[in-house]
Amino acid sequence: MARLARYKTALAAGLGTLVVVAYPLIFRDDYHLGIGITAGALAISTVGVVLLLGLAHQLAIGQAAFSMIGGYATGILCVDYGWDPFVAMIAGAALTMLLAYAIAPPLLKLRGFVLVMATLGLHLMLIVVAFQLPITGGAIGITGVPKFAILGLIHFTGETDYFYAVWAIAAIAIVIGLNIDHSMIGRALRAIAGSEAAAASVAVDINRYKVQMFVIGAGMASVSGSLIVHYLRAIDPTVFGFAFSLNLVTGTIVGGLLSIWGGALGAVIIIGLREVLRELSLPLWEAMIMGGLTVVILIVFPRGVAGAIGDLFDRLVGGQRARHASLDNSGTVALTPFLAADATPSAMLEVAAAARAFGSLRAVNQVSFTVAARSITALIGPNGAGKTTMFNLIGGYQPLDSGAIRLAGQEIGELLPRDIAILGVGRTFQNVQLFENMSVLDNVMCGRHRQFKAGIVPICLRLPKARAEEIETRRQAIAALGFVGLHGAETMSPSSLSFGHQRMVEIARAMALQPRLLLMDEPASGLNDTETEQLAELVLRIAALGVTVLLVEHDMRLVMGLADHVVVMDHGEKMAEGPSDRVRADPRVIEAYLGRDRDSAA
Amino acid sequence: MTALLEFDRVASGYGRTPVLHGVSLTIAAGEIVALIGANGAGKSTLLNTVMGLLPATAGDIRFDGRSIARLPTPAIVRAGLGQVPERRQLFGTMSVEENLRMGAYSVADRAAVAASLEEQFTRFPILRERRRQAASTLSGGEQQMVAIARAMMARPRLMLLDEPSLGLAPLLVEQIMDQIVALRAAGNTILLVEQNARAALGIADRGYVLENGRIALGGPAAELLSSAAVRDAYLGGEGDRAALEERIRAKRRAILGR
Repeated sequence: MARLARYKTALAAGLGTLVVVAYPLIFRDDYHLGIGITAGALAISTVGVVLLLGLAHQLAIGQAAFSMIGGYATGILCVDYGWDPFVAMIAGAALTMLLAYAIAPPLLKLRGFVLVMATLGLHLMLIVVAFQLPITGGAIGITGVPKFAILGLIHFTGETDYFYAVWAIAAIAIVIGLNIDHSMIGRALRAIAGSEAAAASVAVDINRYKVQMFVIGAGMASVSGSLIVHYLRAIDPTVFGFAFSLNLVTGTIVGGLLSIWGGALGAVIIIGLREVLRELSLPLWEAMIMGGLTVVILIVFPRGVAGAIGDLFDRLVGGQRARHASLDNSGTVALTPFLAADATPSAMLEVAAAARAFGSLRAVNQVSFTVAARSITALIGPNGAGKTTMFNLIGGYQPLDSGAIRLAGQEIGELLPRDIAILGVGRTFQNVQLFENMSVLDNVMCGRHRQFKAGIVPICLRLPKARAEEIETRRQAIAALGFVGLHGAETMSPSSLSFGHQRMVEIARAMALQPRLLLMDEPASGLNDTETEQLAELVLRIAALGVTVLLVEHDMRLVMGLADHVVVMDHGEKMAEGPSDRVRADPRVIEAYLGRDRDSAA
Repeated sequence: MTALLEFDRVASGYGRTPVLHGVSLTIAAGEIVALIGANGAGKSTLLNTVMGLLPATAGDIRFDGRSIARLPTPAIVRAGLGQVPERRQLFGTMSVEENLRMGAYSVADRAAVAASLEEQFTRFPILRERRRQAASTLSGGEQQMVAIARAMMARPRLMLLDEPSLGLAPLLVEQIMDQIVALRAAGNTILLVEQNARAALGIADRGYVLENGRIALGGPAAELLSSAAVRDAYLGGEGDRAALEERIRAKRRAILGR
């Protein structure tokens, strides 16, 4: 049975196809075919909503505005200029996506409810414009829109033909959605939702993917609008009103915001429900029952209907998250530094008079030290000494007030975390920051984000280039997991692992980046002695690969056992540095940090 | 000995995964009791079950003779239990003072809150200096003080501390442990959950060892400290402790040749 789990997507696709093919054979009248057409067109939009809301976590509600642009483009181009409907639809989508691309940078700076209001505002503006402009026909709109056709070759005269055409396009939207969801982009977006700091540490460009999802969602909404206008044969400013917008979002949430299938399913449920209520002739109660059912569905199935079906399937078939069931572990493994080809500099990291203050508190005050290439260097000191701030300065999480930080001779003081990660700096966090919303293997695969070269188009269409890269990413991620001793944990959820193992996953993720420099913030905190010893061995094996390691740590046995060089900070300043034995014997270090009773250092 | 908190064959877990299996233990008023155990033994699960954040699926939990096993968390807090959660869990964007005031959220009497706040600032003078500063900008040790002070605000009769030494420098671990002893001297009762078994048993009156969701050992802290079983499993053995550094050095020579 477990084998079945592998084919979850194929099963869903097969079932969906069956229903779509069978529908016109059962419901032959135009009225019911119309319902099916509307559902199909809406499904194209809701897939876009899943990408934008579910995956990219952008509360942009104005999808209907983009449907409106597509709808009017179709109306104007086909009626006034006699364009071919298919060409007009593509042109409309292209225009919509361009517009979306233009407004995305300022718009997506907004978050949460402000974004909701902004997108609703844009929608409202468009409605007003449509009422006023001569070209959109004012309140009457545009009538006499021809039936859908493709390049004058194929004419969809019957409703059954059009039904199949709409659902074929919906299928394309679903496939694109699934391709994105299962790709490097889908992982990156989930990573951003899981932990923005950790996402940046593996070089994920947060804004880029938000914009991409916004533009693709806009394109889908536009196509959906064009198809609806061809069905209605007319468009006026009320067709894509707020009610349409609300239906889209409600449908997607009921269907399941976190899965592409949920989007498509949601469109069908919302349209289907409305029609069932209509046929029961309860027009006055319609809105109330719709609202009530929506609430009930969401209480019973918080992850939507698709989530509930997925859970049921997993329980019956017994396979959870089987996407990585076929694990390939052959071929060469690349954990050695990505940029090792550079002539290895003698100093991997130079910190020169770095300073950073919070108000009157000088967290880091004129600190200078050098981390030799291929060394293991430890940064120690009392809590509040400024170690974590120092780490954040090196990683680009906080800006330098003054001073300089150079990585292999290159100035990095002004760079953002993502750019520093691209230059080959990996890091682990004090409070392990894994992406809880994805599997262990997906977490590590995120680590190889910067090696991934395929762009958005090859990913959407799952071209061979993107597929090959995906396979390679997975192979290397499995290797990285094996390197830290976690072979076999690939499909598990991070939260099901012990804390010690979660640390190892985090290290595997950082190593997947193939860093030149690995920053580890208190890697042994929360580990017992056995785990600490395993960690020490792992750090040594990492150093043996040629990776330079800089760690902040309180367990002196680990620090003294591992480090070639120790830097001691206190009150934001460098207090001492040198080989571990010399630092340990330094009376000032003992006074400020180690204490007389060294036993308590455990 | 009258028990302030009593665990009577308590079972608990997450969803369908059981973690605690029939755990029984008692804490008397005025005691420091240490609960030690490996990662994943169920220490945090036990604390979360006491606080009503996880339901007890079997057995009973009594506080001052009254069952609290079915009470919601706010009622348990009002009954007199305070928790200092693992990793502190401060309200990062709020100031130190606001964090402390949140600790007295269940206290309606404004004069009592003001007095309690003053008491915390007397206990931790550094927090008075930092009272207007956002909690997230404090160092790890100061954050731990805020977490303890926040829990003290409601004047709980029993404090649950979850890994207070986590991520703290050696000297600060000592200071925090001293603070815990001072709390006891002021009449508080404390359940101290620690991975750092040596530090915890060093200040505790009694201790329990949790293994795979079951109490494996219990007794006076001094006895546990000297017990061979505890020493091997949780203290790394006296010889082993110092030897860890040596073993790491040996590995370094073997792997890196330096």
